Formats: sequence, C-alpha cells, structure tokens
Amino acid sequence: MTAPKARRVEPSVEVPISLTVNGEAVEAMVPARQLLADFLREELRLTGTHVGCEQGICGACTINLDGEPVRSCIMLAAQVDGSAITTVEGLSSEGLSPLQQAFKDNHGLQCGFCTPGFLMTLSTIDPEEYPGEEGIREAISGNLCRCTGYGGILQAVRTAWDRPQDG
Amino acid sequence: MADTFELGGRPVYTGAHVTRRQDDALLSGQGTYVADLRPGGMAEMAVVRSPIAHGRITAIRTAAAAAVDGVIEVITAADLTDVAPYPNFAAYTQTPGTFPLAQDKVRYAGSPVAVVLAENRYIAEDAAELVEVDYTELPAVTSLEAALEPDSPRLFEDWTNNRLLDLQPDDSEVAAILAGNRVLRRRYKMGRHTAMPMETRAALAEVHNGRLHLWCTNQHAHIARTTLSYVLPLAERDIRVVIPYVGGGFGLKQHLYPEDVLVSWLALRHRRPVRFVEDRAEHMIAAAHARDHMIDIEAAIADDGRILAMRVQVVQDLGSAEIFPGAWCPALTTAAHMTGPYDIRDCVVSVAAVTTNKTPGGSYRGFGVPEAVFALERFIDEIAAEVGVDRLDLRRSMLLQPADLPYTTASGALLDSGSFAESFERVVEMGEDAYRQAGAHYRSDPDSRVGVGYAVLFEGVSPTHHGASAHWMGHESCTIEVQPDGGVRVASGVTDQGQGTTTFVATLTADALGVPIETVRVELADSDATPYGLGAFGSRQAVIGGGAILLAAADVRGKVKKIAAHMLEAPEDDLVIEAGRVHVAGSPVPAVTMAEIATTAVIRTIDLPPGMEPGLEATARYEPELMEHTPDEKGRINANAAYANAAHAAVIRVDLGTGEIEILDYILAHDCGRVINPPIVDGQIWGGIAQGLGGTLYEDLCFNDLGQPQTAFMDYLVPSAVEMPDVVIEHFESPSPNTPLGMKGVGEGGTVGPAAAIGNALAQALAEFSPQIHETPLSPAVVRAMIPDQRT
Amino acid sequence: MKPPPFAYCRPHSLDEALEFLAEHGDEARPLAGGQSLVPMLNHRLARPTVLVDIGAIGDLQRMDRNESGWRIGATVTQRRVERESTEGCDLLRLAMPFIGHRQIRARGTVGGSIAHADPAAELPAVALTLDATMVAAGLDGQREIPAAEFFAGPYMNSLEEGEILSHVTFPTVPPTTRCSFREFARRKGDFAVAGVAATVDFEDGSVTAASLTAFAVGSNPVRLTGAEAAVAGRHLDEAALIDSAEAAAAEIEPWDDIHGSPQYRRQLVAALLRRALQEVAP
Repeated sequence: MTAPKARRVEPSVEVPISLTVNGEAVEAMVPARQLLADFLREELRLTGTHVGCEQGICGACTINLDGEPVRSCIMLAAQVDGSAITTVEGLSSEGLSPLQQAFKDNHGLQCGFCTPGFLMTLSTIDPEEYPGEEGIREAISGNLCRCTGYGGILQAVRTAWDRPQDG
Repeated sequence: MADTFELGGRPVYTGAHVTRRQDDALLSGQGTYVADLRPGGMAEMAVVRSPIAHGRITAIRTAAAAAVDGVIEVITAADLTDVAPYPNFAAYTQTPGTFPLAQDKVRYAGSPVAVVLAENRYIAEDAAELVEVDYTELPAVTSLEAALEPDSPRLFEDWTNNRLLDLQPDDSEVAAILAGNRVLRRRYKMGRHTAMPMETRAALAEVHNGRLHLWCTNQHAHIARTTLSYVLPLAERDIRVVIPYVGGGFGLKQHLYPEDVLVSWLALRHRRPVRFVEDRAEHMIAAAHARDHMIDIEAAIADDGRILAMRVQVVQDLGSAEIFPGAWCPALTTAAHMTGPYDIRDCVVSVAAVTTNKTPGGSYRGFGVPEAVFALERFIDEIAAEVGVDRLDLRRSMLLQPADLPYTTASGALLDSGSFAESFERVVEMGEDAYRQAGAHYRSDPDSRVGVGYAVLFEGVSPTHHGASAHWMGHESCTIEVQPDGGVRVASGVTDQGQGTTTFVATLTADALGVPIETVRVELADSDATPYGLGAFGSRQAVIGGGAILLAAADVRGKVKKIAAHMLEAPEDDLVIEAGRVHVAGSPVPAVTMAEIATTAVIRTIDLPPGMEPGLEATARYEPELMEHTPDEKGRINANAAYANAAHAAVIRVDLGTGEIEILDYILAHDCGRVINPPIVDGQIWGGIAQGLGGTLYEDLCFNDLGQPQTAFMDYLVPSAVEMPDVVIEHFESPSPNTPLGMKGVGEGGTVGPAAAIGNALAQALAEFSPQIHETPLSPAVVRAMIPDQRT
Repeated sequence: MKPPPFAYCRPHSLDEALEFLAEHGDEARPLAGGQSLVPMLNHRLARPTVLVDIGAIGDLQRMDRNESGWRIGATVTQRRVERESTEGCDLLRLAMPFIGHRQIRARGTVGGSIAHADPAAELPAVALTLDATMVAAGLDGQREIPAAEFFAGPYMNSLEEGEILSHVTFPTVPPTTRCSFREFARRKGDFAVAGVAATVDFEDGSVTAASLTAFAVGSNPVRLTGAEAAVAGRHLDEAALIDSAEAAAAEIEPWDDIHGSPQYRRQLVAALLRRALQEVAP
C-alpha cells in the first residue's frame, strides 16, 4: 500500500496541528518554534507538565506521546500533529490511580515539581522491561528529583509494581 | 521551658504517619507554581546578562531591541531612578551596594545588565539578543586564594581589599598551647555547589487597587515584603507577597533576587502583570552558589592523638556577593561547628569572606556545616594515621558523653541534649559489619578496593537569622482562629517548599486543640493573611513555628475550656478536649462540640461566661529564650535554639581502573529530638544525603581563569536514582529540654556528613597509595589520580 | 531558553525534503528526532531559518536486513532498534542502553545521532567499529560514505550541503565474532567521559581480526589501530591485554574538560579496553 501523495506544504512560521490530548481532540495553529511543553502549558493550560531545564535532562516535562515517554521540552508542538498525548492531568479520571496512590502512601514526593514527570514515565513504560530493584532505578533514571533522595519514590514504585525490595 | 509547650492531651497525629495535605493536588498536576500563573494581559521578562566576569560598562544600546515587534520596553540601571540599593546593616562588613541591574560595572558572568519586557518570553529572548553592551574588561579574580592576595584586583574599588568580612579574634591563649605541643596542620577545601531545586526561580507581579502583589518562589513572604520596601518606593502596607507551591528551595530561594525587584518595578510602571521564569541556563549562573570554603586547621595534639587546642582559619569565597546580604554567614556557621561534638575546650577561629568574580554566594542546605564536618572529621582520621592510633578510639576519647551534657562548646553553642556517643557506636557497629561483608565480596577482585568511613557531628538548628533581611532575629508567629462551625483556621509565617510544613502545622494544631485534623485549614506564605514570620531556613520551622503554634493553641484551648466549663457546668480542670468535643474526664457525655463552643464565642455571645471577651482566636509569637543574636567579648554565641546530631557511615568500593566510587552501604544515625511525622523526617534525611553525596562525588561549579562558568546543567551532576544508594536510617530521640516538645530541626543532618564519611572511607580504601584527601569533589578523575598506573 | 524564529515544514517524501533543503541552502536544517537539535535551538546555539522535519517520510523509517547487514532508515528511533531484533549486529544492541535515557531513545533517531557526530555519542562509535556505510541522498541521487570517512570533526559530518543522511547499513557479523561495548559516564545516561567498542574474531584462541574503537576522547570516534595491532594473532592473555591497553592509551589524543584531563581519559580508555577484551576473550 502506498500512502496518498500529500500536497507540498511550504515552510511556515505558523503550523496547523491536530492531535488528541488526554482523550480530547485538539486543533490549533501553533508558532513553528513553540516548544511542546509551552503549548501544553500556555495554550492548553495543562500546567501539570513542568518545565525544569528545557534541555532534555531533568525529565520534569515527561509526557506520554503515542505510548512512549518523551520529553516535551525538546520537542516542537508542530511535530506532534496527528499524535495522541497523555499528560499528568489525564492519568486518572477519578481520584488517584494506583501509581499516584502509591506515591502518596510512600512519601514519594516532597515539592512535587518533578512528580508529574516520574508519574508519566512510570505510567507509560512496561514494568516487565525493568526487572528487579535495579530495573526500578533504571526506569526512573531519566527523571531527576532534588528533594526525596529517591527513597520514597523507590518505595512507591515497589508498591505500585508489587515488587518486594531485594535483600 | 518545655512545660510551657504542651499538646493539651494525648496526641492523635503527632508522631504518626499523617499523609501530606498537598499530595492529591501535586499528584494530579493541580499544584499551582508561580510559572503556572498566567493572569490576563501578562507580559514576560528576559534579562540581558553580562558575558564577562569583570568589566566596566561603557555603553548600552537598546534601540534595536526596543524596536522588535512585541517588545514593550527595554530598561537598564539608569532607568531605575527610584530604586534604592540594598541596605547593609552589618557595620563590621564592607558593603557591596547591591542593585538590581549593573551600574557602571559587572562583577560576574551572568550579572543582570538590562531587561526586556515583551508580550512573551520568546520575543523577550529575541530582543535581549539585540541589546548591545560595550565593556572594558578588567582582570578577574577567580579564586579565594587570589582574592586574599594584597595586590589582587578589587571588585569594589572603594573597599580596602576584597574581604567583605574579616574577623581575626585574639588567639594568644591557643597560640600558647600550640607552642608547647606537637602541632599538626592541614588545609581542607570544599567545592562550589548550588541547591539546584527542580523548579527554577520565578516571580509574577501585578498591581491590584494600587498595591503591588508579588507571587514568587521566595522562602519568606514577610521578609521579602520588607526588603522590597527597602528598595522600591513603596510602603510595606502597599505590598503583598504570596508564595504558592514551590518546587524546592534548600536555601537558594531565601534571597530577594534582582528579578523579584525588576518584575515588581515593571508591573508598577506598566500597570500590567509581569512574569519572570528563570530558565535553567540562567539558573546556573544567576541563582546563588554556595560552599566554596577553605579551612586551615592547626591543632596541638596529645600523645594519644587527642586535640588539645585548635587554631582555625575559615575563608569563604562569596563570588561577587551581590545577591545575599548574609552571604558570609555560612563562614560564621562553619566557625561555630569546628569542634564538632568533641570535648575540645580551646578553639579559636578566624573568618574571612572574600569577593571574587563569580556568581554570588548564598544559602544552601547545610550552610557552612558540611565544610566544618568535612575538615574536622578528615583531620581526626589524619591525626589517627599520623599518631598511629585507632581512628574510632580517638573519636571515643574526645566525644561528648551523656554526663558531659549540657555542654557549651568553645564557640558558645549550648549542647543541652544529644546522643553523640551512642549514635556513633551504632553506626560503627553497623558500618564495620557492612565493611567486613564488602571486603569478603570484593576480596578476589583486583580492580576493587573497599573502605568504610565515619563522620559524627552536631548541627545547629533554628538559628538566629541574618540572611535575607540583614537584621538579627529568630522568632516565628501563629494565629489560630476557631470559626463558628468549629472549623479551625491556622495562619503562620512559616512556608512550605515541599518539606511538608503545611502538614506539620495542621498536625500540631489539631493535636494542640484536640480537633480532627480534617477540620484544620492551614494558611501560609501570604503576607496579607498571616502574621509576620520569618519563614524557611536553618531547619527552624518545626521548632520555632511549632512553638508559636503551641502558644497560640494553649491560649485558645484555655478559652475553650472556660466556655465549655460554663456550658457544662463542670469544673474547668476536669475537662478534656478530644476529637473536637469537650467533656468531663472519664465520662464522654454530656459533651459540647467545638462548633457549639465557637458559636457561643463568636455569634452567640449571650451565652458566654459573664465578662468574657467574645471571639475564639489567638496570635502568638515564639522566640527561643536561649538563642543569642550577638557574640560575647570572646566571640562566643549560642546562635541556635537547638542542636541536632548525627553519625554517618559510608562503605564504598573504589574502581581502581576508573577511579569511580560506588557507595555500597550508607548508614545514618540521626537524632532530631521528638519526631512529629516519621516519613517526613526520613524523607528529609534521604534528600539531605542525596545532596551531600552529590556535592561529594558529582557536583561542582567550575570557572576558568577568566571567570567564565564552565559547568552547564548537563555537567552539574545531580544524582539520579541509579547513583543514589540505599540508606539505612537509625533513629535516636534525645528531646531538648529547652525547645517546644523537645523538637530539633531535621532539614540538614543528612547533607552535612557525606563528604566526611566518604572522604574517610576513601582514605581507608586507598591506604596503600597514601592518598591526599583534602578537597571535594572526589570525582572519578580526582580519585584516579590518587592511584598509580600499574603494570602487573 | 526558547528557540529563535524559524519556518517549519514536514514533507512526506524524501524528494520534497531535498527540494526544501536545496531551496533554502545553508539556512535550512533537517530535523529528525530533535533530541540534539532542539536543545541546541533552545540554547540558541543553532539558528536555522528553515527546519525540514523528515519525521513523516516513510522511506526513512524502514529497518530491514539485507545481504550486507541491517539497513536502518535515518528516522528509525533508537528505542525501536533497542526493542527489535538486530540479529547479527550485537554491538548495536549492546550500545543502545547507553544512549541517553528511555525518553531520549523514544525520540532520538539512528540517523540523527550519526549525522550529529557528537564525539561522545555511541552510534558513531558503533558505526566506525562495524565499518558501517552511510547513504547520503541528494537531488542528484544517492552516494555511499564509509564510516571512516563520514565523521569530519566534532559535530561535523561529510554530507554535502543539501544532502540528507537517508540510511545507515550496519554490517552483520558471524555468530563467532565477539563484541563488547563499554562506556564510562558520570551518571546513568550521561554522555561518555570515555568509551570503547570492540569486535574480535578468534581462531584457536588467537585473535584473527579485531576492530577496536575509542570514543569521547577526541574530535570523533577513533579506531585504535595500535591496540588492534597489539592483539593481532595473540591469545588475549594478561600481557596482550596490557600491551593493547597501553597502545590505546598512547595512540589517542584526548581532549580536556571538567570531567577529565587527557591523562585521565587515557587511563579510562586503557581500563575500558582491557575490560572489553577480557569480556570477549574466549
């Protein structure tokens, strides 16, 4: 099957996009240079996606893009045309999800700034791919937390993934 | 003293795992941080920063930037004609004359020179690139050693040298002891760190009904208000400071920053909301740096290694000192902790704080204590090696024992309680065991060496404050109001950067009033809604804020009982309050509810006891009696309300090929007196250790010879979960007889020990190579250089 | 940290993308996963006026095996390579987990990483070790560039203006070839301070062929020809390990940064190579 030949669209400083965000269809005209994180925060007012570094290091801006955890601070809004996005606001329609509850029960957050990034990484990946205690640490290595020293976060993930601590 | 502060009944929440108040919001992305605010008509600010470390500004051209579509205004220092420089109330220091934008001179790369106000941040950044600034470069002073040189270029030309602070106490008594004994000398240095909260700084200013409203990330709502009134042409009553959710502070957000003043000034001028959200690149160079100390110790040593007397010189590199009026206070704190929890009667410390052409120094968790602990604890291990005694026995011979307490240290700190020896023995027992196991595990690995190191320490908590306001004080405030429906509003000057302060305030209030915690509403960090308080610093909020809560609650409780006694026709002394009801002890009915009592007090005063004043609320302030604000004639001062203690043990493996240190076990015994919320205490300890480990192994802010910052965010290695070891925490509780409920602060004990414990472990692991371990960070490259290349 | 202004397009065919690049000359840049380019835009270290997003071009998203190896389209994500089998190309599989973090690999592409030519990046080192072939597409057709000629300095490649790296072919190796990928980074997922990639063939315990590469120690990944010579024909005994490690340390010309001096990087390469060879030794 060959894709239908798309019409040539010239480079432009404003780009139309249509996508799904937390299950709802969104259509917007975005500045070509607008970062995806800024689009979510400033245009859609989904401010749970936090911006901590704008260089793809801290992970606070992590979202679920078509089933993968990605950093929304180093993507352009223009790039997500046709995609489906989940942000922290879309994690649970009622109350807290089991993962969120595990964070609450295990003191897995302090200031809460990094927390949406952790939640979005963890809710997007498959725990089976990250076996054992080492796997938990690997799974969250792309998200930095400055408050907790990770103790409560690790315990929260062990709880959420029903994985007793080694040793 | 402690009797004054009672919970009033059997605690329900205090000491229990009370889940945190903000978590539901934070976990669902509903916590509102400053950067999440977006009032209509908002403009955004970008700062033009100096690319050079030291130079004179000869011209600034803003026309091209101002002409960019969407730019509202471009301003420089010359426009700020109604702004006053930051006052200096410390007569014994030289004055940096801090101003929001550079006037004539820049003194660090990153210094704010001009500001672009535009319709959004994208446009503001576009225009900021077009501001042209001409500089005449001056030679840069880039190290504290260079700053101490008599012919060093001066940052502030009207100063006599680069020493903002220079205290040289009389050392004749110690000199005499040194002269008659074996003397050991060492120099220790700690690298330059920064708190690196995951949320950068942010501020949003608006004008409402002629008043300035500033939403910001500052750790003190009221001090920020007061200091704004110093520099802006506004009366304090015309300023409201609100601190919404904050993404971590750790001291870095203690200071009123230039951008806080600038958004306020621009909002007043343009009568529209102005937001500044610092980006991470700016944060690296324009948010306060910390540590960067050099400590010289000379000690008279007895034959068995005991320290008979110490002469210490502490030098702190302040950077340009242009942000934080109390930037030099960490050096004083270092001085106050130089003897550790040891019986060292004679110790004299001179302190110098010098300016260099680097990012201004400020506050960061630990605040001078990690430096002191690293120096002293390494020094003790070095004495042991030099004299040939066991390092643990040497500590035992000097550690304060229970019988020694209360003990006043050479610096004047009153150690009224603590588990110094006991906590030390516990970590030694566990540490030696872990070390044996590690040794057995790696015995046959030729590329590995293992070691264990210890650090034992006390840390002053709840200090007198100079910091952001440049005055000295140490109090905290609380208002408790019971409303007619029986619900409680508690407002306090403490603030929450994520530590759980809000939950703590609710916990103590609920127990002190005997009401369900769900009925307590907490209001913090709004200068219009809370009584004047000092906010977050120095692990003080539980102790001092808690004291104020207990005092206010005692007032309210007294009145509740009086009204209830009247309503129940029972003697006041027979009454108990629990779960929001008051009844006679031993018989739950009849009872009156808090709602009935408050209704009577506020809107049905006809039923009040004759002569009783209406209302059911109280405001209290607590300032610890024994906390001192000025030193005595010998420089001694008890600058803290309490002293927590801890002992650390680190078991490490060193990779001889790469120089990497792997933490195999980290054990910490901690004593912060009475614990209010165990998970919050553990969280503080884990987080503190992570920052301490980070500064020891990973984090360092480097500058080259021109004063150019070399450490970008990707190079400032905040540890991830993979780098963070598991931590075993042992709890000790030695309540202070002098603080409310015997509480001591917990915020910093984890941070101050890792450098010393890991440094000592490394010395043991690499003993065969006689490594020189006198500085942090102990990066792989630094460690590898201690290991000879071997051809076996 | 916001990108400077630019125009953006997202063509659906390679020809169209090449036309846009040709029309806008050196003002234009192709955008693949953006995991290096967007941070550079945010820092305003890159200032293209036109971004040609090649992420919607189906031809560049193919990943298949042919007689010469795995032919991987430029915009195949690192995550996909990590998840899907690349049988016969163990070195590629071994290197994948070292590339940034999961979130980076989800967007980061094989072609983007190689074209970016970061001296500390993993994929260029793998390409060099395996003698991969880069396929450059231009309006005049395709040309092949061997890995050894592709990297032209730090962050520089040998694509001509207007060309796009369309595919990379990583040769497969026989199952008897042994490989190792070792990297020393300060934190999990950070760029390497130094790294080593190795493929070695043995016969009766002796080395018949070795391809050894060091990266993050100079302008580009570099083949350790001295170290390769040091192990040629030998059993990988202690003496051979030492000789090759010393040869490697001597032949590289490492750079200096806050994470390590040239001397330290020599020590690291020696240690990593030694461990890599220990790992592959039969």
